Amino acid sequence: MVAAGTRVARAPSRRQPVRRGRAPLRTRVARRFGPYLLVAPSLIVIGFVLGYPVVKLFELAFQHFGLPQILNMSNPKLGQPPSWVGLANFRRAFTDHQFWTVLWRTLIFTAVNVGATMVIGTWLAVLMRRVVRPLRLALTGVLIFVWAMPQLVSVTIWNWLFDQQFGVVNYTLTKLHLGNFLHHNWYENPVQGFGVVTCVVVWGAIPFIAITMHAALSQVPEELIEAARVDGAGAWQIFRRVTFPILRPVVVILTSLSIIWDFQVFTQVFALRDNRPEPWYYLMSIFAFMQSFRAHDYGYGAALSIVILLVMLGVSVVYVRQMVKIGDVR
Amino acid sequence: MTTIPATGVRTSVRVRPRRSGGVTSRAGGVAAHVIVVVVLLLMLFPVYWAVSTSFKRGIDMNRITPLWFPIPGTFQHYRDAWHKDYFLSSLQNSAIVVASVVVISIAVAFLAAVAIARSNFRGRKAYIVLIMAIQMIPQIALILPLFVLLSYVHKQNTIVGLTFTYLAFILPFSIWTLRGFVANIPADLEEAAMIDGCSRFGAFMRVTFPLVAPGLVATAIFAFIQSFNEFIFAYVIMQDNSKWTASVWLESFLTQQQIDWGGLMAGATMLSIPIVIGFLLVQRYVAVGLTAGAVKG
Amino acid sequence: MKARYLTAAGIAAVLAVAGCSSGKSSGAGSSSTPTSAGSSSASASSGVDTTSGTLTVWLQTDAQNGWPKEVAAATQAFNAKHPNVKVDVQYQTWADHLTKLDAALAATPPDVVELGNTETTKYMAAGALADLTADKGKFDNSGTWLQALEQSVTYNGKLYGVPYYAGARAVIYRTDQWQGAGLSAAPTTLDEFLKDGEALKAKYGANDPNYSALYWPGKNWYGAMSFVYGYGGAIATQDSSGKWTATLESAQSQAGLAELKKIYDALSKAPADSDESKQDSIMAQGHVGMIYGNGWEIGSITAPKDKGGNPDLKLAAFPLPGPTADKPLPSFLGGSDLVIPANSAHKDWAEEWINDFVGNQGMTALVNDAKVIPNTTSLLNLLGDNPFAKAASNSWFVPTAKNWADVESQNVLQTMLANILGGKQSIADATKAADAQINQILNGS
Repeated sequence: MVAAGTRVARAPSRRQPVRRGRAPLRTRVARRFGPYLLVAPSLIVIGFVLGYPVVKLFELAFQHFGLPQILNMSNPKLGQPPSWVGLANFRRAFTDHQFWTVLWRTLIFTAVNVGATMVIGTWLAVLMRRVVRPLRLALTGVLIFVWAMPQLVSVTIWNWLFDQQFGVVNYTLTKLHLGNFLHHNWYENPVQGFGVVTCVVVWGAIPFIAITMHAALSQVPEELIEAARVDGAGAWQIFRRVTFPILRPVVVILTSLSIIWDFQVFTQVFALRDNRPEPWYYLMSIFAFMQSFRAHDYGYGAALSIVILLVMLGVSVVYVRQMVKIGDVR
Repeated sequence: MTTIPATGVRTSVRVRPRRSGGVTSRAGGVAAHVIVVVVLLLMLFPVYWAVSTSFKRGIDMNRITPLWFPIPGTFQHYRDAWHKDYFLSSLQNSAIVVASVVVISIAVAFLAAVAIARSNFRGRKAYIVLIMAIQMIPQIALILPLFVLLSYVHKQNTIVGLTFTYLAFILPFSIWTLRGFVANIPADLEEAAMIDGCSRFGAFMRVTFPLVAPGLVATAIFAFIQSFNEFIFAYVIMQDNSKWTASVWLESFLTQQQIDWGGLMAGATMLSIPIVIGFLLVQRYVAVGLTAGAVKG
Repeated sequence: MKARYLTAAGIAAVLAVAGCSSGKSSGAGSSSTPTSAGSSSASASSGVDTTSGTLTVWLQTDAQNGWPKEVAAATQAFNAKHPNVKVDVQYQTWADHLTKLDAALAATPPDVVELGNTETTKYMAAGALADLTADKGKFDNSGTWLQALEQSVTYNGKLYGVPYYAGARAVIYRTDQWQGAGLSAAPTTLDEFLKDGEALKAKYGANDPNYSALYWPGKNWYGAMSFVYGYGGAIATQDSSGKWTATLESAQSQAGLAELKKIYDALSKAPADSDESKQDSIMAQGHVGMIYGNGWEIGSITAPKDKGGNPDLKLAAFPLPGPTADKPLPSFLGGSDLVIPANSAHKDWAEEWINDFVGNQGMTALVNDAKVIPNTTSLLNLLGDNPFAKAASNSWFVPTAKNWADVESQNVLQTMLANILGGKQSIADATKAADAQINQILNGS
């Protein structure tokens, strides 16, 4: 750290001779291979760790693969080798009524959760910049606490809050005369149940969005905003015309990440339903998990996972294109 | 890393927010303050409930009439959690894994982010799509082949194996997020600095780095929390109890026969507090004025 | 030089293992009567094995929290015979242990694994577990193992595991309320049971809207199926061709479920879609007169207040009565088994360790210490006049179909019960839907 500082100070004196002599060649080489050197480490790590598993996942999706085949992996003398079944696993999914129900449910769930998370998170980030420092720090502390809380614990707490008999929510709503919520069972009606799930998911996702947006907002030059204000722009107009365009790349990224995460929501539903979600609480990730690890049908589970991947690629194609475009250097 | 700009820029950090804060609070800040307080309380309540439960006697945890404050309270759950098997070892394992993941992922991701934000190399689009697609594969579907792979190279049950697993999952995210921050910085700024007589590296350190610092911190926090809280991979990869990470250790409060809610909440509180304090320490370097100061200076 | 030396050592090791295990088997064979506590130590005296290696044992956290002493004792007994073998006991949590096991089976399996007795079938059917049929005689008390547990490690007539311990369910009730409502003897029929419950409700539920005379969470399918079996019904039956037929919609099964619904509607305030995991802490709160639970739940209900119990409650238990006085409702016999993965490299050591842990000596300590129901009828007397031990005498077990675990994991029965008890579907409709699903799952590939 200290070294970095000193190097900066020394740099100018070093620069001159370098630039005069070798600069052109070096620059050309750097231009040519620099980017590859920069992305290489990430590719190596990702390729090493995920290369085989991803290939295997695609392989499984076209196989009949259960416990006997697992055993066969460790010792070829045991169990049975996998057999290729072509598209059977996918056909099974597409002809399964439950699959389509779960898929639609997941898409709607994702839309609602991403929308709520992004709006509330961004709004909170904007507000954070307008409050006094102690309050901002307090809010940041709370956000971090929320974020840092292990999912197991936070879901447990939410489960308690909405508990039928001892839940604070039922108690408070009843005390506030908002209706008789004594013994109200929030999970009986899946719409309400997913309402609770949405609370948990959004509550857990807000910190990341708010903190990142807050950091991004700090990149917006104060001068621009003040200039706009001098020109008579209102708060909303400033946000739309000045702030948002600058935030755009970050917003796109956060939205696409939220889509990815919310489409794969798993733990929240799983734990809220006591590790035994009813079929009407299945989301795609739970559906795939149940097939893989509960029914030990790894082939079908892998096929479902690939469907998840494809659906998400489809949904976010808009974003991918945006992504590729935004960064395109002028 | 985050301390680099400290010496140079911190003074301007201190000055600017106060000035701009003064401006905004005049411009209708009361409503903002009220809303923030309300949101803060709403966000806080579940956290409060977890922490207060950790001080409640077991009998007071599930009550028809809620016990709003943990009085009468007990420290028993903290004692239990502290003395529970594998507490310190799991904390230590988590610390090693988290530190490695944060440091490596930030460094590696930043390099890649610069590459995709700043140059239009061949294969760039493919790379971006790859980074994105990887995150769309349900992680749990990869756990079996991943474990087989790690066993094959004898890295199952090791911190190295777990660290690399986390890196692979966290890197795409970090690269992507950081890319947004890098892309946000006008390249002209750097060039201008170079014309002013800075070396490429100097321009980078003086101009680019302070501007992406908030992004680096945000990604670091993300990497930190993800790797600290991840459960299922840690549980499957780390076979020995002595190699449990903190999140796996927490799960051991749940058994078929009895769930030790108090211990679970106490354990979770103990684990969260260092993170929160750590963040609040870093927080000041993410401070708002960093950018503004850098742009001006 | 060095290489040759190592090879020699390796061969010696193999011989030592083989020699030891054969010596062991003859030792146990000579004392096949299930009483001799010293059988394992007797074989130890036949020679100390100096091979080194690691024996990995996966037990559930119940042992870690409940009886770590007995685990240590087993390892100590084992190490007396194999001083150079490191016994590596790792505790697993219930929620994800099968995920972890599947991953391990694909690569580096543990040598001894605890499985819930409803989790075993799938693994037996897949050939994932070592066949112990020929070695049955090596295990103490193998002639008197609890029927339901032995059944859970038997597949197609072959033995794939060793019963570990069992748990039976009975009605746990508050003696003070029982007396307060003017009740005395335990009910002997379900009609009496319902009447007693209504007396409790009249006395304690009048001013307490949260009071449940019987707290019966709707998804408690182990309890619900006791009604099904008690009224002569069954979940599913297998014909001679091996085909399974679900029979929840049979008249007997429906009669049992109708009786359950009558009792649930009259006595329970528990949510129809909750399970029994929280029922003891709820009983400790004081708004519950009776629950249907495991023996160890008495301990957690009356635990110190810091631990979530309420030591002031006075509890006792009786077996859940049946429709007639001659027989209580059969209890589900829950429990655990110890199995050896087929790809374990240390089957012989694993067998020995298992016998050191749940053989006659280990089991006696376990029962005396943790009050679990032993794996053998020969030790049931250690529990005396225990209502749970009595309940264990009449038990039912899930169909031993290779896909049974899928019925459980897909929550077919829980869903059906939540629908019936929550009033969402009639018994006829709900059982019909469940039967269709069960037929499909059990007869699937």
